[in-house]
Order: sequence, then structure tokens, then C-alpha cells
Amino acid sequence: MDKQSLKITILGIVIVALIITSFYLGVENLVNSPAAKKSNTSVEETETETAPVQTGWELVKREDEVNLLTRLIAAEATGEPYEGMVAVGAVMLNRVRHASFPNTISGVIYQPHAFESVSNGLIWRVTNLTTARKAAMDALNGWDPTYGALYFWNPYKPVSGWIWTRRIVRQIGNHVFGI
Amino acid sequence: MRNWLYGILGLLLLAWVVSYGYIERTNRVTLSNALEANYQREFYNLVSHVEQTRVLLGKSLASGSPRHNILYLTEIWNRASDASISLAQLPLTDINTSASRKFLSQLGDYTYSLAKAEANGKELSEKDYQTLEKFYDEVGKFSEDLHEMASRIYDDNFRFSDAMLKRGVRTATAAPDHLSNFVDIERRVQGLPTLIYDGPFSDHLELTEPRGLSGAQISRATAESKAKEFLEKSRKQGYTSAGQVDEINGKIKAYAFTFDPQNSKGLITIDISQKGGHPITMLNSRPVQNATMTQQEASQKAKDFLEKIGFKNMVETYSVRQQNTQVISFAYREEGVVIYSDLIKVKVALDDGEIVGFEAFGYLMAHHDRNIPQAKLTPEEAKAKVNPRVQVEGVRKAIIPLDNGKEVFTYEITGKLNGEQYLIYINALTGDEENILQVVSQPEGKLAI
Repeated sequence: MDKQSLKITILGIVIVALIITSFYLGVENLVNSPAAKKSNTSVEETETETAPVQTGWELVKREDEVNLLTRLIAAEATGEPYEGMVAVGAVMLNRVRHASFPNTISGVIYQPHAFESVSNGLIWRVTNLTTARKAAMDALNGWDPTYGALYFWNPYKPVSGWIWTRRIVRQIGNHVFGI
Repeated sequence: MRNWLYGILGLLLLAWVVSYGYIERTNRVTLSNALEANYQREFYNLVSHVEQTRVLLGKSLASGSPRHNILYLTEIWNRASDASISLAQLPLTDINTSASRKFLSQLGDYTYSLAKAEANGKELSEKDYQTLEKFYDEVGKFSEDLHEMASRIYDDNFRFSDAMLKRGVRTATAAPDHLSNFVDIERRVQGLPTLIYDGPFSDHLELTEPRGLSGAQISRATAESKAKEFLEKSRKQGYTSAGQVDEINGKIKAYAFTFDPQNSKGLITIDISQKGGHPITMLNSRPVQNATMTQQEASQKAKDFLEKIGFKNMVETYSVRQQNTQVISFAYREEGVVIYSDLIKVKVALDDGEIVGFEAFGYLMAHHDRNIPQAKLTPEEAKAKVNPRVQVEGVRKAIIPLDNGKEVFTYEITGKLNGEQYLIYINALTGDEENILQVVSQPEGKLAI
């Protein structure tokens, strides 16, 4: 083996090694995550917490559940119109009340494969929660721009064909809401 | 010499990559086993909860004592609900089980409603027994399917985490595999007749129509002028139409209009019903600056606004501070009776008193002309029905919605026990206790749980 080919082989190994290790070392932190880029300037939440109230006759959601709802909204609907963020929160609450879904916020959010942001881990990485919290509060206070929808999906992305059999209530931004 | 160096460097790198890969793989296997153990546990929990539900249904059918039967029926409620929770935690990507979960929730809800009826001294009717028999059969088949799957899963060391990576929807002609019984179950329960009974998951509640939509169908242009009219009354500063109009195909059909508030960020969205042109919801997402007004001033603003748009008989029921806004709930009042079903919420910005939110969906769904009967109990008699340990503070008449969709005419009695405040609802006609709520005081407002 001459000198030239040996050099090329070694260079090749180094490149392959770099690619493999960089993959291990968390490329997943760089893709799929607009929020990950901001993670160095983590937002300190300053607003005071408020008591989330349903219409008085339904379950009252406590602070820890508000936090969960806030994260899910931030992870699923950042970049959507404000109304679309409230809508995602409302869908969560509609699911909690529906017979086909778990009866807690945590049960609904962490249902396997229910939400992409849980599958790809974005829900644990989002940092900009200010607007999402406002939207979560509005949803908990009874605003529901979806009129009882149980599903939302992005019509511009490939989704399972089954979802299109749902009755569509409306579209807000990049999300279609259906029952 | 040089070649040597390159060779060693290359080998070192290779060794590093290989060991790194090995460690990562070991980690992955550990995690995947932990996950698999979770899924297997949920699956076997499901099998056992459904089996127990079946046995309990059988016992309930055999029981001759109503007092004993109540215990069986409430136990079925628990087991069926546990089964539904376990089923929801299985990683079935290509199989939809929402009808199966609804079946389990509805079964539990139904038996709970029977237990409540029995607790109130009602005997189960022949029809109730027939429905229970039908459930017994269905749960039997459900259980059979689960046992079949369990034995196949056991025989083949099937792993749920492998199924997890499947994509798309399973077609009707797909070859049967370890999980295909879930498809059979789903298909079977989808074909069951609708179930109407006295509970929150009864099928008739999904079909409720709005009762408060008076008036004729209106055009999109009329709806837009209604939206603008609404804005004039809620907003001090100007706005421009953002041009976007959506149609909403919900329980209330509506047009959604979007406006741009002048001099501030955010958007205003308003939904106007296609029938009658009623405002349903409004949300103004502008940022709200520091509060300059008190909660009382905000309440007054909200009340004035409601009168301006034609809601005259509204009484404030609770108020919550949400950052720099105040969300105030109002209920309709008729002949001195507070009607909690007809609920409207108004959100006031505490910086300048602008109305930044409005929500009347509940009102439009529930409001109708009610013939409020004469109370059979006097307030004093109602108070006497309350547990003597509760120290009664006040009493007023109220109509409250129950979770089975019905309304009941009651006395709302406020009282204290062990330093906590309670709202107790005594039926104004029969004297039965209908509901108890605990009032929790928080810095931002009072909640009734």
C-alpha cells in the first residue's frame, strides 16, 4: 500500500468517525427544535401565577397541570397565531372530558404517539413559554376556538389517512381542527 | 515513520468509535427493555381489568340485593375506567382504539349511573337488566380477544416496542398478527347501538343542539357588520380588518373575522353565529401593560359592556386575575334565580379597561325560556337539610347544570366547615342534596371545586 492511499484511508476513517460521533452526540438536539437554539438565553418566567378555573362545575386544573398544558402548547403551536395556541390547549381539555381519551391532562399529553412534540422530545426542550402560558390560561378559562374539537393536524404534512375522516370544524394557521 | 503514526491514530479512532457504539447500544437495549416492561405491564393490566369487569358484571346480574349490587356496580365503574386507561397507554401506532376506549368509559359511566339510582332507592328496571346483559356479552368477547392476544404474545415473545415503529393505517385486508384482535374489538364495538342513559358519557349529550340561538340566518356581510358593531362597543381605539374570514363548522355554525388593532400588536378575532348573528367569542391578543385599575372597577366595566350589547340580567359569579387582565364570569338571573347554565365570560384589560375577551358559547348552548316552578321548600327548610356540622352563612335560589345534561332547581347554601367554605345545593322541590362544591381561596380569586 503506498503512502497516498494510506493517507486517504485514514482520512476516510476520521471523517466517518466524526460523522458517527456527531450523530451520537445529539444531532437530535439541533434538528426539529427552533427553541433549542434559544436554550442559552433561557427565559425566566416573571408573571405571577393565576388560578385556572373551569366554568365552576368542571374539574379545576391545578398549577402543575397548567405547566404541562403550557409546555404542550409551546411545543405544538409556537409560531401559530395566538388563537391557534388557545385552540391546541382547548383540544387537550376537550380530550380530558371525552370518553375516548384519558381523564387527566397528563394522561392525554403523554398518551403514546398522540403528539409529535412528545415523540421527538421537543416538549422538554421548549423554553419560550410566555405566550403559551397566556394561551393555556385562556383555554382553562373556557375559551375554545375549536368548538369541541378532539384532533388537530397539519394539512400540509403527511398524516395518516384516517385523520381525514374526522369532521373538520375549522382551520387556524397551519392546523386543521376536527371532531 | 509517518505511516506508523497514521496507522496508530486510525486504529485508536476506530477503537473509540466501536466502543462508543457498543456503549450506546447497551444503553439503548436497557432503555428499550424498560419501555417494553411498561408496555407489557399495561397490556396484562388491561387483560386483568377487562376480565374483572366481566366477572363483576356477572355478579351484578346475579345479585338479589340492591345494597350489595351498588358495590358491584361502583366496582365495575373503577375496573372499566382502569381498563380504558391501560388501553390508552399501549403504543398502537396503526390501530385506532378510540371506540374501544369509549366503550369501556361508557360502560363504567353507565354502571355508575345505575349505582347512583339504586342509592336513591330506585330499583333497576327490566331495560337496565337487558343493557347489563348486553354489556356482559360484549365484555366477554372483549376479554376473549385479549386472552387470545395474550397467549400469542407470550408464545412468540412479541415486543410492543417493535410494533411501535410501524407507520400508517392498518388496512382491512392486512394479514392478522399479534395485535389484530384490537382491530376486531374496535370494529365490533363501533357497531353497537347508541346508549342513552343518565350520565355524562351518554350518547345523546354529543348531539345537543344550541338552544339560545334566536333569529334568522344571516349573510357573511351582515355578520361582518355585527362583528364591527361589537368591536365599537368593546374597544376605544381604532382597528382595521385583517381581511381574513373563516367559516366554522362547529356545534354553532359561525363566521370568524380577524381585525388588526391600531397602535398595538396582536390580533382581534371575533366569531359571529350564522343563525341570528350572535357574538360567540372574542379574543384580543394584544399585550396588556401594568394594571392601573382594581378588580371592582374591572367588574363594573364588564357589567357595563354586557348591558351595552344587550345582556341585562347578568349577575357576577366569580372573578379571576390572569396576569394583567381580569376574567369575570356572569350567570343569567331570572326572577331572583341564578341560572348557572347560562354563563358568559368577559376579560378586561387592567391597563385601560378595554374588553379583551368575550365568551358566550355556554350561554348560547343553554339559554332558553324556562318555566321556573314554585319552590316546594322554604329557605329555612332547605337550610335544615344541610349537615348540622356545617355553619350556614347564606342561601339563594339557583338552577345548576348536572353532568348528565339536565338542569335542577336548587337552593344554593353557602356554609363553613373546619375553616373551609362550601357551596351546597339542595333541590328546591324534593329537598335532596344535589351537589357540594368546596370553595378554594387563592390570591387571584375563589374557585369552586
